[in-house]
Amino acid sequence: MTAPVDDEAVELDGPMPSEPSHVTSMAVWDMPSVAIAGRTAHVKVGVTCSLGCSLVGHLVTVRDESGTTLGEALLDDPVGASEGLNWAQVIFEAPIFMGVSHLSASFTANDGEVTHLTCSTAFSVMTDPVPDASICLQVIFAPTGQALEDVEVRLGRYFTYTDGYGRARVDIPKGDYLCEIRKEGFAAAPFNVAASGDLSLLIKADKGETREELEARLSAMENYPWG
Amino acid sequence: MTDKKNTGGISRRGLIGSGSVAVLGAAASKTQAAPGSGKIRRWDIDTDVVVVGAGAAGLPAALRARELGAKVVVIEENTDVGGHAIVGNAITNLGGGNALQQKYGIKDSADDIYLEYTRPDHPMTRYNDRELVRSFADHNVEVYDYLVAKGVMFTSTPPSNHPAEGSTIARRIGMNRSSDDFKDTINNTAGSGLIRPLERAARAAGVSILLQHRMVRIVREDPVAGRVMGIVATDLASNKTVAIRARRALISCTGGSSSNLVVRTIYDPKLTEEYQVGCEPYSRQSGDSEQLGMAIGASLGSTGGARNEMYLSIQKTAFIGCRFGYARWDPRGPYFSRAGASGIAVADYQDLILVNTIGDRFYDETVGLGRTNTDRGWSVFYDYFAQAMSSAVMEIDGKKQRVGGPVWAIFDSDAVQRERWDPRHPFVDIANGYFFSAPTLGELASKLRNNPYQKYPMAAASLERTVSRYNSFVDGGKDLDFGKPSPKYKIQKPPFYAAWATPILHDTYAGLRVNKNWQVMDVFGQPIPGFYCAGEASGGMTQHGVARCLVGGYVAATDAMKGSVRG
Repeated sequence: MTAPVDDEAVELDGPMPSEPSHVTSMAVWDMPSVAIAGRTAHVKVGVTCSLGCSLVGHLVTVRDESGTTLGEALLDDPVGASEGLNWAQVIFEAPIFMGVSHLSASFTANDGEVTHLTCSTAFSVMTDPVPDASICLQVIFAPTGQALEDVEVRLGRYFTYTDGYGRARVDIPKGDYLCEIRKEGFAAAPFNVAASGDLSLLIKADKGETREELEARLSAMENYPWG
Repeated sequence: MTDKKNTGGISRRGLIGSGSVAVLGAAASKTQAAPGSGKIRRWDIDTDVVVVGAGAAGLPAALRARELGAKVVVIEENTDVGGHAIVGNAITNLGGGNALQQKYGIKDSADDIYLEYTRPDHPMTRYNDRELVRSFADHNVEVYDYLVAKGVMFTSTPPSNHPAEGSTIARRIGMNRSSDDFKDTINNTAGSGLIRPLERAARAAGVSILLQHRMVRIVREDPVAGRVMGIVATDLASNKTVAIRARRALISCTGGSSSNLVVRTIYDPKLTEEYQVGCEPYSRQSGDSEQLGMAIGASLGSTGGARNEMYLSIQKTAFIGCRFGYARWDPRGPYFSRAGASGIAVADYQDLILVNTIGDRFYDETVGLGRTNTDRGWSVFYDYFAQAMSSAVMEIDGKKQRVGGPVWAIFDSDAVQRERWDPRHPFVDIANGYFFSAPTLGELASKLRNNPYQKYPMAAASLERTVSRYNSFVDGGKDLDFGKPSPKYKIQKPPFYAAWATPILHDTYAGLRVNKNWQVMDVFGQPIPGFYCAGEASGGMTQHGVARCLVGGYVAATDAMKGSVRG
C-alpha cells in the first residue's frame, strides 16, 4: 500500500512515514482440561490482524518445547462473537510424559503484497494416564431432593456438568480427588473422593448465595471475613 | 421532597459576583489569593454559625446550633444533601446503654465504649485520642436519644457487633431507607433514613442550606492567628464567590480527605491519582477542611489512624468494570450518569486474575472482599493492597521506577458464562475506558491505553506471558507465584476482557486535630477560637460508620453555643 502523492506537498526532512504494520495477535483455547498422554488432542488457534485483514488460508502451527511441529492447520473465517478472529482447529498428539507440558502456537503469514508480522503464544497442556475409574454422580438439593441441572462438578482438574436429572459421569485415573460443585444459589462443602475403582456419588447441595444476594451483601459492606 | 432551591430566607444581597468579595492583600485578584490571607471588606452573608457540609456531621451540627438559638447557614458543594452518609448504609455504632440496647438486654456503658475504642491491642483503636474518645463515649446515649427524637429511622432489630472495629459489645444499629423514591434515597440506600429526617428537621427549624457552594477559604482575624471569622465559598452554579461571616463558629464537616490527592498523600505517598473513593461520585472526601484549615495554622491529628492498614481505609472494589465500584450504582438513581455504570460483582475470584499496570499478577486474587484466607490474619489484606499499589516496576528515562496504576481483572468468555455477567452498559463502563474486550490478549493489552489512568502501555507480551503462566498453574493445580488455592479455570477462550479493579479508598481515619469539643487545634496545640471540625475531616478517632460524625457535630454545636441565651 502506498500513500497518495500530492504534487503540492511540502518536501519533508527525514524518512517518509512508514506504512502501518499489520500486527497480528493470537489466542489458543478449548484445550481439554486434561489430555491423555500420547493420544490425539486438539486446540483452537485464532489469529487477528490489527488492520482487520482476513487471514483465511494462512498457516498456524503447534510445536513442543524443542520446536518440533506437533500439528498445523489453515485458518478459517471468524465465527460468532470472536471479533474478527480467524481460527483453525489444530489436531496434535499429546506429549507422552505425564504432567504439564509447555507448547506454543505460531502464525507465519504467506502473504503476497501485504506483510503480516508473525506472532506466537505459549500454552500448556496437562497430560494424565488413561482413565481407569468412572465416577457416576448425581447432585440434588438436599431439602427437597430435587435434581440439580447444569451443576459444575469438579474432581481435581477434571470437571463435568450435570444433565436434567442432575447426573453426570467423569472418567478419571485412579487416585484421590477433591470433589467440588458450583451452581449459583447452591452450595456443598468440598469433600475428598478416593477413586480406587468405579464409584457412585450422591452430592447433596444446600442453599447458597444467589447473584442478587451477593450484590446486596457487597453493597451493604457487611460480613467482612476478618476481624 | 424538600425544595432544593430553598435558601431558608437568607438574603442574597451582595451575591453579585467575584467583585462582591474584596480580598485585601498582595496576591488578591490575578492569582488565587493565598488561603487565609487578606481581610474581607464586606460579608455577603452574616450569620452566627456556618456549617460546611450537609452530611452525617454537618446536619446534626446545624440543627443543634439552630435549636440553641443560632442563625445557621449550611453550605454543601453537592446538588443535594447527605454526603457519604446518604449513599451508604449509615452504620451507627452508638451504645453506652441506650434504649435499643436496653430493649435487647445488652449491657453497655460510656466506660465500656471508652475502653474499647482506646484498646492498645487492636490496630483500629490503638491510635485514637483518649480525650476525644472519652467525650464521644460520654455523649453516646444523649445523641442516640436526640436522633430518635428527630425521627431518624433506626431499625428496631438488635444491634450487632463488628470485631474488626475492636469492639466486643453490640452497638451497631442499622437504618431503614427513607422511602422507595430514588430522588429521595439517591441510590436506594439506607443512609437516607438518617439524612432525610435530619434535613427536614433542620429546614423546619430555620436552618438555611445553600447547595452547590464550596468552601474555598477560611478567614481568620490574622492569617494564622486570632478568631475564625467566616469563610469564602464559591457558588458552583454561577462561579461567583460569597463571603459568609460566622459570628460564633465555623463547624467544618467536609467528609474526610480521601478524594484529595494532596492531603491523602500526606498520609501515604502511594495513594496516587488512580484510586477512586467510596461514595464517589455522589460525594467527595474533599479534604477542604484539612487543606484550608492547615493554611490558617490548624494541625493534623492522630495521623496514625489514617494508615492503620486495617479495615476500611482501603478496600478491594466490590464491583469491577466501572470507576466507582464501592457499591452498586443503580441505573434508576438520579446520579447514575455520574457513575457511568453499576459494575459487576465477582462471585468467585477463581474466574479471573488481577494484574497491575504492566500486566503482572501481584497477589492471590482470592484475598480480600468476601473471599479470603483468614488463617493469615488481617495483615494479609493490607499486604494485598501494598502489592496492588507498588508491585509494578518500570524503566522510565533509563531509571527504574515503582509505580501504582490501575489494577485490571482479566478473564475470558467462559468466565462471563460462569459468572452470568452481562458485559455491556449499564453494567460495565466501556465508554469511559473502564472495561475492554478483544479477541486476543495482545489486542486487549493495547486497548487498555484508552483508560485515563493507564499512563504507560501494557506490553502485549507481558499480559500473554502472565496468562500463559497462570494457565499452566491451572494445569498443575498449584499457583507457584502467589499461592492462590488450587487455580481452577484457564483464561483462554476469546473474547478476553479487562475490567477496572483498582482498590478503593474509603474512610479517612485522620484529619484536623480537635479537642474533646471537636474544636480545632493549631500547630502549637492551642484551640482556634471559633473553629470546629467534625466527622471524617476530624482526626482522633478511628471508627467506621456515622456515629463519630453524629456525636462530633452535635458536641461541636453545643460547645459553640455555650454562653448563648439558649445554649
